[in-house]
Formats: sequence, structure tokens, C-alpha cells
Amino acid sequence: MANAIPQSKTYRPSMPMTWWLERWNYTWFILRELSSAFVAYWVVITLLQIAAISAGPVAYTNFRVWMSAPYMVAINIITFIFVIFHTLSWFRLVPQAMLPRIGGKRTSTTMTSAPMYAVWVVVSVIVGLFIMGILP
Amino acid sequence: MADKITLEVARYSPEHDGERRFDRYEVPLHENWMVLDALNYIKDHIDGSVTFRWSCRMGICGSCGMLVNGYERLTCEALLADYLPGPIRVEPLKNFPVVRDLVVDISDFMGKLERVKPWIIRQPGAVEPQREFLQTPEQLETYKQYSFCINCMLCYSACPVYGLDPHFIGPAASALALRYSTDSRDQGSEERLDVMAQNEGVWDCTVIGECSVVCPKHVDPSLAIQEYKISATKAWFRNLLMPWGGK
Repeated sequence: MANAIPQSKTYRPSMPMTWWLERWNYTWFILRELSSAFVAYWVVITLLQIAAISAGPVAYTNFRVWMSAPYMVAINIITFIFVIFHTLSWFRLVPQAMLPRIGGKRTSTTMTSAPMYAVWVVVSVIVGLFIMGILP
Repeated sequence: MADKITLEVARYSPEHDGERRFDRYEVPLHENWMVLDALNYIKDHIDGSVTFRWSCRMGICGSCGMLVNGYERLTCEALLADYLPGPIRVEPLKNFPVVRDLVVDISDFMGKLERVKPWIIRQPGAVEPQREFLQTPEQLETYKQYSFCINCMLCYSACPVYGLDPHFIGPAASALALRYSTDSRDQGSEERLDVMAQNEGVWDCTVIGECSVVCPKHVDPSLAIQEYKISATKAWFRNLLMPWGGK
């Protein structure tokens, strides 16, 4: 191993607590990690919703009343924004993590990302049609 | 265009063991001058004590990496005119101990590089060809991108994970490990995987991706690390399913 220079003779600037504000990529990373907490919250709410449905009409009505409280609506709007961000951030990450090879050549970033966005749009449209009652 | 521009150069001397300071120098602004030309002008004409590394002046040797206005650049490729009206702040790379002024101690990186054995490994008893090794264009394509790494260490400076955990093997060492492990002539991929699959190997990486953004040779070390994660995972499953099947 190469000989190290005595540490007492060197100067190492400390990393500030706000390092993640220095560059957009760093901030994006922290927001991506933070958004995981909102995804977890979303899962918990969904499980509670399923439990309420299983428990019968009264429990489900109580759940809906709770969900329509202004503070829950506010929390859920913020959660929705972060969950969308989480999805986009992982779609953005995939070409950074894998670029499959086709015929020995790497695919482009667009080729890797486009199918994910396409599937996302199609699934969102189908779910939207269900919610609007257009699909049975 | 202005005929002068100011550089704020980070200064630190071990003899004084103090905090570093910034000295301001006014240099001529020539159309084709790079930041490295300005530093050489300062050293030759204004202050001979300013210390920095450089060699080829053409983006090949990887010696002159520094922070220019807070971002990692090879100073031989950073055009002064792009930073008008100035001042231009020049600092040593982050995440490394500073030896003097703009020179950092690279021994940690050199040690990591040695650990990943960045050379062609042939196993004892391997049948060696009677002539040069032949490779198809596809085999060359597999590792070519990673072979462009010039060890400039800009990626280590840009990596907050390395800043927070200096044990992390880091981007360039990972890219070079993959460069050799995916070379059809090499037989040392398992030895390297033993190093790369450790916690302080590729698993420390949180995919921030800034290493690939600052890479002056478009090596994309972030991609190399993720590819190593896939290899490490496959090897783990292989060992789990076939514990007697060898590595």
C-alpha cells in the first residue's frame, strides 16, 4: 500500500451538516430517501382501509369520515405529492443503475426509461377509468 | 471581453497548521486560457509558493483535478472565459486530506486501487495463447467505457458517501475493478468480487450519481457500482443454492 502522509500534517475540511443543500443531485437524493417515509405511510393507510372494509359498513364509514377530516386531507395531499416524486425519482434512477445491452450495445437512457413511463401512464388511465366508473 | 480576471486560491501550509485561507490573484484573461494556465501564471509571475499538481495539460493524466467555483473540474479543461466576470474560486478536491494549498493526499485512493487489482489476472495453469489475445468488438465494448478512467479522483470528491465513510471503496476503484473483471482475457473476477461485495465495497453506494456527473471521461462509475451489485447478488444466490458448487 502507498505510504500515507502523516495525518497531523494534513488539513481535512469537515463535511457540513448542510452538504445535501450544496447541489441539486444531493438534495434530490435526500428527498428521494425522505419520500420513502411517505410511501410507508401510504401503505399503512391502505392496510387500515382494507381492515375497515373487512370489518363492515360502519367501520368503513368511520374510516371515510376520518379520511375526510381537513388535517387528513392535507396530510394525504402532501403524501400524494411525495409518492409521485418517489415514483419519478426511481424511474429517473433506473438508467443510472442499469442499461441493458441489446446486441452487445448498451441501450440509451430513453430506451430504458420510456417503457416504465408508458406502463405507468397505461395503469394510471385504467385505474382512473375504474374510479370514474367507466370500467366495470 | 475584460482583460483580467481574479482567482481566489485556497491556501494551506502544514508548517502553520492553521485553517486555510483564500488569496486573491489578478491574472490576464486570454481567450484560450484554462484555469490551469492561470494557476501557472500565478506561480511563474506572482507567487511561486502556490502549490498544485499538473502534468499533461490535455485532460489525460488526471493530475489537475480541483474544485472550480465549488465543482470538480480538470483545471486544464476549465476555460477561464466560462467563469466571467469572476472571481474564480479554486480549491482542492473534497473528501481528501489537504497536503498543501491545492494538493491532496491520494494515498487512500491508491490503497483502494491496489485492493481491486486493476490489471489482467491469469490463474496459475491457465492455457496461454501462442500469440496475442484476440477479442471481438463485442468483448471490447463490454469494458471499453470503464477503461477510459484516468484516476483523476473527481468522482471521490463529488461522492458524499465517501466523504461520510472513507472506508467506502469508491467510484473509480469500482469502475476499474469492473473494467478488468469484464475483460475476456481476465480470470480474476472472483478475487475482485470478494473485495467489491463487502459492505464497504459497492453496498455503501446509495446511488446519488454525482460521480458520473463530474466524470470528465464519461466513465459512469455509478453504473459500474450498480452492475457490481447485480454480480454480487447473483454470486450470493449461486452460493446459497449451490453451496458445494464452488464460487
